[in-house]
Amino acid sequence: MFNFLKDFLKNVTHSMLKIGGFSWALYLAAFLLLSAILDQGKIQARLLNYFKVPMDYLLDLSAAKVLPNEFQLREQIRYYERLAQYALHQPEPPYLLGFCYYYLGDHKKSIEFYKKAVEKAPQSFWTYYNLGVVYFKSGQFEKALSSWRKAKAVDLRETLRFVFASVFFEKRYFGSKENLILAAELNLKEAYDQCQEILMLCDAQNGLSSLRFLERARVLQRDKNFNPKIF
Amino acid sequence: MTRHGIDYYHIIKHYMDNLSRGVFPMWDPFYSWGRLDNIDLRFIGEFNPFLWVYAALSHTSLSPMSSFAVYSTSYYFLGLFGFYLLAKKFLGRVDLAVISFTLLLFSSLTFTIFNNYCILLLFVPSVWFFYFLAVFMGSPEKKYLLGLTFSLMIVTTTYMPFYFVTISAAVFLVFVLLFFPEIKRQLPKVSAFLRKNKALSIFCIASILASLIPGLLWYWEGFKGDQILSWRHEGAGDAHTASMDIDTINTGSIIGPVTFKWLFSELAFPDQTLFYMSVFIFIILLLSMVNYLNRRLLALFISGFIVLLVMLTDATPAHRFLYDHIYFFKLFRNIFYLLYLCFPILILFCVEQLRIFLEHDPRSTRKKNILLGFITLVHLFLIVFLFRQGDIVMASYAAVVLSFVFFFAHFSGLFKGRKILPCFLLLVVVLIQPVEVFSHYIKNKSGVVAWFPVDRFYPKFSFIRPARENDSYFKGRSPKEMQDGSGFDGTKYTGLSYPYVLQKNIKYDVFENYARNKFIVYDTVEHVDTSDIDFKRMEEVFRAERNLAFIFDDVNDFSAAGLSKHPADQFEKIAQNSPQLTVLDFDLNKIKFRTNFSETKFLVYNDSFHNEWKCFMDNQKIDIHRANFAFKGIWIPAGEHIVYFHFGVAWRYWLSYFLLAFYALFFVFVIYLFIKQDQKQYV
Repeated sequence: MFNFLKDFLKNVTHSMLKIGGFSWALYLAAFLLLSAILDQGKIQARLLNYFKVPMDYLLDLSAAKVLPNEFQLREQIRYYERLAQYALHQPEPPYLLGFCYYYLGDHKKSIEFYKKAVEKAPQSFWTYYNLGVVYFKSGQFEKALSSWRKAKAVDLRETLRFVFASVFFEKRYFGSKENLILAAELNLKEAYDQCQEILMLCDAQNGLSSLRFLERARVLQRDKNFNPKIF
Repeated sequence: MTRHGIDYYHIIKHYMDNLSRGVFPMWDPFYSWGRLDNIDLRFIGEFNPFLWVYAALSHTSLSPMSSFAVYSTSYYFLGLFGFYLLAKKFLGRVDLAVISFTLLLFSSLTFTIFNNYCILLLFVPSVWFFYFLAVFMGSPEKKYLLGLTFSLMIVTTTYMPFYFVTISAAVFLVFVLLFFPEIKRQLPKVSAFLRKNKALSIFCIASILASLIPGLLWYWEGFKGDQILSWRHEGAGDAHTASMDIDTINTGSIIGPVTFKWLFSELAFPDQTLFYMSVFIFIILLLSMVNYLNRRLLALFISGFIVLLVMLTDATPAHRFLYDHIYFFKLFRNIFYLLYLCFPILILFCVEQLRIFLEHDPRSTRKKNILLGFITLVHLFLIVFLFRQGDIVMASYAAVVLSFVFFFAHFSGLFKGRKILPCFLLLVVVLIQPVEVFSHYIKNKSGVVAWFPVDRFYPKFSFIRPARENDSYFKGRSPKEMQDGSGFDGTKYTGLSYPYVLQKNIKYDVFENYARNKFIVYDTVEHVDTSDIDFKRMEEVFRAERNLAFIFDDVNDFSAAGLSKHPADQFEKIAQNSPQLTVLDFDLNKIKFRTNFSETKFLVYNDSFHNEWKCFMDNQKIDIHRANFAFKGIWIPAGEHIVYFHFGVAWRYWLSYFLLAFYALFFVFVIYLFIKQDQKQYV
């Protein structure tokens, strides 16, 4: 028995070294073995759990209560990037990624994600509005105005319904349902008014080159409180 | 240092400050309303003689923090040196051993000094164990056997030696299978040595057995049920305090902290990176695809792979199988610690692959061109791959380019006759990326804990505990420099079960208000049937501060004789030294006070009840009652008396002091043997 085992092991080792002698064969074998036994579902669930971060920081940032922090933003990005891989049809992950990248100073990526969010939720005021803000801050006024016009055309009740129904937006931040409704309505009104004001300035003076629009644009571009909002 | 990293400083400082005054910490009166101190000592491996380096340094002009920095760093370098020797033995070349050493030094293992020092406490003896084992198997000598024994003794007294057991089991299994003929050839030599040195062999076995005693005692105590680790034990189907259910353990997986993307990108934010190693190892792994395998490579790869399967926890069936069939897998949850212990395996594998790759000797120009083409392709692939990952530190590209230069020059024959230049260039390739990553780590340094108590930890008694909201006490660490804790610790309760049950059954604010006072004096008592405890009533009594203590034991000596005939409505709190009660002496394991009451009183000392506490009144042993469910209560007759509470049994103290001395002497003896034999060789 012992000799049999010894010979067997010797032959196996010898064969492995000779037939699959190249390291690539070993790597390939390990890869195939792992692929066969790894439970992808558990890996995905574990990764999502690991990267899950409370949304409080983003809501604070949206309410201008805190300053942008690269570490915290990257933490959020890691989670929402991963979430986006699973929640393929949900607009919230790209929407929040657009928000995070804006505060990271990467306007290009922010626009890219807001555009994705717009595709998935064309009935949300906030996606158009935020996209407009990022365009505006990047100096692309025409695109910003176009986005805000679309925002204005959206049914605001639909936007509120979208916010209240979303499972991705953490409501506990507001303490009570009343506070949530109050904050959501107030923010929406503020953003809508701002949107309307700029559009009126531009339309009344016939275009982007009007002096009043340019003056307002200059002020808004420097305004530290004029940023995308979550809701 | 992160919050978790600085905890080790506090534990070591707490331990050594007390030990240097002759007090071996057995009890922690400041945490969880008083608890056994065994868990924290397990964290630091209390018998490790290297701890004396900290103690010695802290008695010089160095501050405790600087002493800790010097001690912890030098201990880490001791492990790195062990790894260098192991690599030299394994690879047979000094230059490659230096490369291995550098790769390990500039890996995320180094971060653990600042965020999880207990990994190094496990890593250092483990590395030395394997080194001594390798040399002992090659040439059995006394010094190697003693070194082997000593490193094993250190491992057994560290926090959770099961990590070491897991790695060792995988390595032994694979190496025995693959190197069976060689091991078989060596065994008679080893066996002859052990027979020739019977006394030494018995001594080594006895030493290892002795080193197991503290761990076994801790393990045995875990079954008694008088300790609770609430946050980890909850849901466990096993009686042992340290055991956990599989879901809790699964959270310690490497999945999450380690992702494929993070191996390469976002290295400018490596504050919590679990796995980081120079990009050069990935270059080697790619180049090595054309290498022929040898048994050493196979053994390293398979043993690493086995451990990887365990580290993936529930993503593969391996860990679940071990959890179900091997008991100790229920006791450790930070499975990712295994990853750090696997670093040496990975590095030795890569450097062995590097050695083989560099030994390729293409005879014809065609073969040489194919090899150079392959090298070019691999490096180009890596550049494109890195670029596509995003958030790549610039030094990664530089490392790949320099690596290309190195390999191209090597196989073009440009290094012929030169020894220093290739080594130097290789070191630059290895180091260039880690230097940038480490500089980011230093720059970022998130999670710094601001308070570092520099005073010695000499226990001071306080009559009143701090309020819960102001509390962040741990082993002397306190932002308010108060040497006491409220007892509450969020969700992570680590202490005795009685106070835990009490705080769970009584409203927090009521319990806090009651337990803030260490000494409470009563005139009336009530015996409680332990099978029928009315916590609601207790809560009411605590809230109203009624003059009524509850006694929870069967010792029936609480007659009302001598008690006040006209008791007050409320109990009396002793808030400071007074003519009635004066604290005379206090340290972690004892308290001595003088009492002088006009009538017989029942005194409750709100420090957890445990049956290893003893009490003496005027040098006569008296009974300690379990009072108010969780605390210590004694009867105090009228008049002046000296009361002395002492924790622990004598043999435990003697065992601890013996092991302390034994480890220290063993260490000195091993060092002496090495120096002596080196001198002999020199002569």
